Amino acid sequence: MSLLVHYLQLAAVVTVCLGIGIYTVVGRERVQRVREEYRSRVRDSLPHLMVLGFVFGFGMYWRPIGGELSWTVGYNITHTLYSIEGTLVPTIQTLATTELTWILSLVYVFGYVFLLLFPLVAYAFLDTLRPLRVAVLAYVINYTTGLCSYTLFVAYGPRNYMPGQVRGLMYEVWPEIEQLTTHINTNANVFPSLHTSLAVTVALLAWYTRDSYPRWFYVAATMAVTIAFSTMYLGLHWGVDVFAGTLLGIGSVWTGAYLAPESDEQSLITQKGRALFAAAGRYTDRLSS
Amino acid sequence: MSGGQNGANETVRRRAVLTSFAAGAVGAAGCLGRFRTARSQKLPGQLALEVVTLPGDADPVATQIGRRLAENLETVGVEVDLTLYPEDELRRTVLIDQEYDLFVCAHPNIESPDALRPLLHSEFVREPGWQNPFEMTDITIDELLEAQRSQTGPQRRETVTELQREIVKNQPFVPVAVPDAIQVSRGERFTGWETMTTDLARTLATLERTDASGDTLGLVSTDGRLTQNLNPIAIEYPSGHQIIDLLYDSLGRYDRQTVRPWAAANWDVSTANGDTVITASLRPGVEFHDGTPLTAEDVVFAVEFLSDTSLSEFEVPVPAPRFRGRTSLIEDVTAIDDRTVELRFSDANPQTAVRALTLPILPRQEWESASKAVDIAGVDISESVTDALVRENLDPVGSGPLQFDSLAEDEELVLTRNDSHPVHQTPEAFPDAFGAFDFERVRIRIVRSDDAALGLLTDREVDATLSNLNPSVVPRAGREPAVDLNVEQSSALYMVGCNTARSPLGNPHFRRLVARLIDKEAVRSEILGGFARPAVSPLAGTGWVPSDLQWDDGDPEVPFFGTDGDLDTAAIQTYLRDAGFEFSDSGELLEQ
Repeated sequence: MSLLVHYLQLAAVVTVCLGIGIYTVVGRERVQRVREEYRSRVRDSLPHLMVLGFVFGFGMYWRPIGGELSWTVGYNITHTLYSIEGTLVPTIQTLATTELTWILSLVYVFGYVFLLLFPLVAYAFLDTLRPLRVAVLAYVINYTTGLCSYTLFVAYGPRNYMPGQVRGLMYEVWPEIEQLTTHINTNANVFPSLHTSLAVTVALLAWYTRDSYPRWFYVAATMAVTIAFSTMYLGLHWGVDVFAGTLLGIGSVWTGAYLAPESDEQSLITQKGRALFAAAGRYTDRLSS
Repeated sequence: MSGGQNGANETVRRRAVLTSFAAGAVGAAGCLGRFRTARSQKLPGQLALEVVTLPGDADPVATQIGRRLAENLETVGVEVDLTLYPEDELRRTVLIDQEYDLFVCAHPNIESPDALRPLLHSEFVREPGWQNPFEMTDITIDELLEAQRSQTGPQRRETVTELQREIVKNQPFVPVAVPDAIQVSRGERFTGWETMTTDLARTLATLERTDASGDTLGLVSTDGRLTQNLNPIAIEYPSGHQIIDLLYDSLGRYDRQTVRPWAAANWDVSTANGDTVITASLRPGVEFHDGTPLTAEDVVFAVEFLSDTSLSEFEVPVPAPRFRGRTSLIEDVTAIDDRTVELRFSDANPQTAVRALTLPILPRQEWESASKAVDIAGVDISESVTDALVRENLDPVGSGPLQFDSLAEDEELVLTRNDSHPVHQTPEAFPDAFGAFDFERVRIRIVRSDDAALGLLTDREVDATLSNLNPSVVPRAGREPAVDLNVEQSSALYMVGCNTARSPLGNPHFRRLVARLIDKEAVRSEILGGFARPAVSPLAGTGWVPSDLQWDDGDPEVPFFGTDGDLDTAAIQTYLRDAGFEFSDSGELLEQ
């Protein structure tokens, strides 16, 4: 199966999950309400998503460069991570069963992508866009801190450090997925666990928005804990990575909430976006006349 | 200090001050001297060593040997850092920069005694690649390596025996185990499978198509570098190159450790003035894939180019490291006519000299321009690396029995049969081992893990694995119906290399301790699942090992320091104290 098929499969599963999420969490009522003013909603939320897209795009471009760079300037900390926690991961893996491996693998791949995308969609339906702004900022902080850490530290996961003792459980039951995961991650970038930090970020944001989306908090919290556990269970991350990822998640939400402007009028990105849309509107008007 | 005593007299006050300064300076100098002496005599710190090896994704066997060694060194009281590097970074660290204390990896191929010469002769200390990465300088070993090169018969065998004893005594590297090559295949579309190791030309020739419509041979490999670099002489990619070697021809090819005529129809070996001379005649009709005929001049160019890829433009020659052992044998090469080439060897017996016939023949038009220095954005970065050694060569032009078709990075490599090659036109003119290929195309799929490779095979997407499998997947392969396991002794060697230029690894007693911390039997049975033989001598994969250096329920020279995997720490401490090492009160081994 080629890489494209994997991506299409991922997109299909996540789209279905998002649909279910909108139906059950956001609710028909909110969707109806926003439909009436959808133009201004799109105008005000899209610039934030574009900023996020730009940062992720830069990250994709930077990763191979940073990877090369880290072999020259980075610290190789794999042995240190092992010295701190020892055989935590092999101990966790004694719980392994085929069913559990499948559940955790699916959550690790599909669940994670859904968990990250859902807040971006759901928060666009809220009365205020501040939660969306906090979420975007927190994602950006997570991602950029992660990139810096990956350039500064070279660290292999337990599966690579303790072959024979730690199994690559996900690749045993689901070998095809390896093509997708290695396309996105390199195996020498495990500190900290971005899976954990972003999952923790989403769960904390869900706590802040629990009055609007009470169900989402329980879903997000459960998934965050499952994802953090799965990274260790699957032999991909050290306990230390998960701990550092948790701290990063907490820190990024706190910083995001501190930095994000209260109102649309104070938000630079919103204002720039509005100006851009207005200019684009004038341009199309002129073209049509 | 004495300054205060003069200070009482008012009239000589200024003078006194100056005096006091001088006296103070003398005092301070004395103080500093005492301090320096004391400092140099202070207790040395704990001995720290870095063990470098590959991560589990690249070579789980090497990682596990490295971890066990690191743990045992820690038990002995050494502070250890185990560092994992991906394959190209490990080669850079160990084989080019030589910035390591101990490394663990597999040497791809030690097929004959002369392969030890570039590995251990002091003449190669400064060269990159598998050219003495241990920085070993030992006159006895040098002399034996030189002697075996020109000797023949029982005399050479005696020298090679002596050489092995000397190497094993010194342990510049610790031979750990000779792994088996493990591959799997299925016989529905092609029959006659053997393992695909160094004799790939023979293996592919034995395959027979059972289904007339199946013109494509499907293989799978876990080595993504096959789609990233097709340079036959590149230093960073010495292993897994058997298939790339089939894009090129050489005068002779290996068949079960014997070099047999390939692009040469035959050769004469003679001796003149103490030199060995090989006169080889090229087969008619050999052409490069771009249509130009392959002549004796191309062979001369290839030998000269591989001996110095700068073509004498640089002050110091830049040989292709992968072929350094072989090119160093050749004294002179000349084209007698279009189809005859003469190679002259000094101090080399015929048995050693024929190894040089396996050098790839490169087309001049493709490679001559690669003799310039590597430059990045127009700036020369090094006078010691040529473009030839680092180019990716993604559109290779050779003359071999396979021809490049297309590739997709990390996905697949497609090669087609070169129908105009003599081995396909007139296979009867070749030695028995070689023959025409019964397929029109080879498609090599790239996957990341052995599990994925096995998955493709069970789904009938491919016919066989090209890369070797880790023994841990053997049970799973055995459960699959219609999947055959092919196991063959390989000429690879897992080793622990010591940087003898760094203390305390310059000390043979310490290197012997390192060797005795490795439980080779456990490596065989636990890490390699029994698919290996423990190694005593570096030539363990060949028929050159004397009876006293055979594995006999244990290593006869450096037996494991313990029983059933448990170290005998009291005995090790005694051994190290006898060798002049000391321990701190808390049991740390101290720097010497």
